[in-house]
Amino acid sequence: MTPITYIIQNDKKIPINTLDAKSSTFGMVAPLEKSQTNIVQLFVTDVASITNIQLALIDTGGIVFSPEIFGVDSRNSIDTNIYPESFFTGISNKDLDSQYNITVNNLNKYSSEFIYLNMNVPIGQDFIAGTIRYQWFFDYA
Amino acid sequence: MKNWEATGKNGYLITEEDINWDLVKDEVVSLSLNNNGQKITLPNNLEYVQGKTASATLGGQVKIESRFIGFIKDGVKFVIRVDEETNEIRIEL
Repeated sequence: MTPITYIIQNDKKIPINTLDAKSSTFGMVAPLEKSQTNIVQLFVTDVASITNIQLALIDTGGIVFSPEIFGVDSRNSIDTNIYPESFFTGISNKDLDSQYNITVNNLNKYSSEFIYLNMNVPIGQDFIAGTIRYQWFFDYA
Repeated sequence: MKNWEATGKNGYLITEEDINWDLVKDEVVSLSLNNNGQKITLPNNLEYVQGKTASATLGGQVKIESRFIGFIKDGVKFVIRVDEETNEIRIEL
């Protein structure tokens, strides 16, 4: 079983594993700015299927959490013009049962839908690219 | 060591080492989970489910969090889940 996170760039799926960590985050974002939207997808190899997919925000990179900062949405198609309309409601304790995890639908037996992530940096807060971390949870057989 | 073990309709042993669950799940007539020498066995002749729950940071570390066996009866899924680290056993409906 090997999970791969793809990031969608120029309509191509690129494994995050092979990229410099900073290229999979949001680049430079100034306070009160909305970041670019990153579209990611979970794909798992060598399994019969995956189910019960969840995504959690586990590290805000030093930004004090409040609602409407960390945008997240899931869709079954790619559209680079879309901004997330939903937000993480809290920081997950890295637990499958965390109330702050978001449920993600399957696109097929081995893949999640496309997840749209962005952030809105609050005024007076520093943002250091590369330090925000997300975590997948999923069942597989 | 943790793994599941099943028996097929003809009495043959099915293990997770060599079988794709989707190909055999309809043939399974009994299902057990070995948990470091402790064996949990479900009632025979049911519609079974089994699997593992994993976590992975985006582009990073992968970890098995727990594994489970269970069955579906009258539309209700009954699952016994064993935590990979603590061995805590949890029943879920």
